[in-house]
Amino acid sequence: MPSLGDSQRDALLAELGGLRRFCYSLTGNPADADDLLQITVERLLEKGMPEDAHPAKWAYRVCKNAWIDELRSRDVRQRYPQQAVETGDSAPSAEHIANSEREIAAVSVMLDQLPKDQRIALTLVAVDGKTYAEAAEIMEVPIGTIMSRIARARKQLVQLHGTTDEE
Amino acid sequence: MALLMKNEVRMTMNNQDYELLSQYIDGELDATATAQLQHRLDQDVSLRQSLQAMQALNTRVHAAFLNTDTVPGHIPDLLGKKQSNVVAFPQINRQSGWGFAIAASLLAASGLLMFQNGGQMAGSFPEQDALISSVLDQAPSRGEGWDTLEDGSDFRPVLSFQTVSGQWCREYLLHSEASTGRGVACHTDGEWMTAVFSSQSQPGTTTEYRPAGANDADAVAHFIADQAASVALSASEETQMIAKDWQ
Repeated sequence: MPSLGDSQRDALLAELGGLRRFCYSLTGNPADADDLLQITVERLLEKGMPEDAHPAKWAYRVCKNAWIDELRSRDVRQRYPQQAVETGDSAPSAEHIANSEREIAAVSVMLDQLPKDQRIALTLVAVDGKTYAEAAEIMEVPIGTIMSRIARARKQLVQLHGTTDEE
Repeated sequence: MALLMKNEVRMTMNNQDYELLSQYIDGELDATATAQLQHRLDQDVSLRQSLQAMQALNTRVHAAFLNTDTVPGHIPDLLGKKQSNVVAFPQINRQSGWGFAIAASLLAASGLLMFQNGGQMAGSFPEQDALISSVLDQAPSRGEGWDTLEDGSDFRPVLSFQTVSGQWCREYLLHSEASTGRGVACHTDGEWMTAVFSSQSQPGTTTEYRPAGANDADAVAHFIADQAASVALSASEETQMIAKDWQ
């Protein structure tokens, strides 16, 4: 049975925060983000990864594929403000939480207007800070494809939302 | 004004322009292409406005998800690892910034300002500030290339912004043989004083520019997210501020 080595588990553990944020930016709400993260980890545990794989890039790739699979199977995309607030480990003010979640919901609605490949590419780079080369590895496409997907995503967002987003 | 900007974008922008601006925002242009684009930006109002609009959206998207990296406790358990609830201070010169995300976000969320460099507080970098001040006074932000400081370190301003309290601040990269650091210095009483500095090992080549937050959420990214009043200055706005000595 495939399994992860200790170093791979350690690398994956260190990656969980970034992966969770990636999940959140894809799904748009905390509950789905946690579900997607769990699915990702379970797949990694179930199928393992090659010894020479870069654990972070591999994990993002698995996560991206899991999200696409989920979209295909459910055809349900929740992009609306979540009603329930999950209790976090930190204790920001209620007002801060409300403002943050409203903003996440608004941004998620914007991102939901993008084709999924553009959304993933933009999220990897703009949210997770990946380079084009890293995003290309994760999405298994040429760097030029990443470049054009991100540019098209931004073009669409600018044309739809212009400069009215400054707060 | 917004409508006019949007119309101008539609009239003048083509797909290549969007790709160029997008690469510029992401620090993916080489030095030559960056210089060429900056020259165009200085002359082309529509291009500049499009860049501002794209930067604003980019900043918004990035900031929205900054603090969404808190992992439910049961997921680390799946990996057979227990995750402590105690927020640990990050290590200096971490090999990867990724593991720092949770601690950084929790601290930022609780309103604490954290400094990676051994917990030093703002104003604790007098020697460094003395070296970088003249560059921050005059040099425009850019995605490629380095200025050489008197001690031989490589230095690059990467963006400028105004804080909610009206102070002007600039994010920079500082690279020496030992490590690469990212910081923000703010203009105070005519001098630049580092407000936050994150020491880290930079993956990739030394010429590779990675935007704020590129190594995951860190103290610098949180500082900017917390303190910036709006989006980063455009090239022309920054040029004006340089001409006015950041007053």
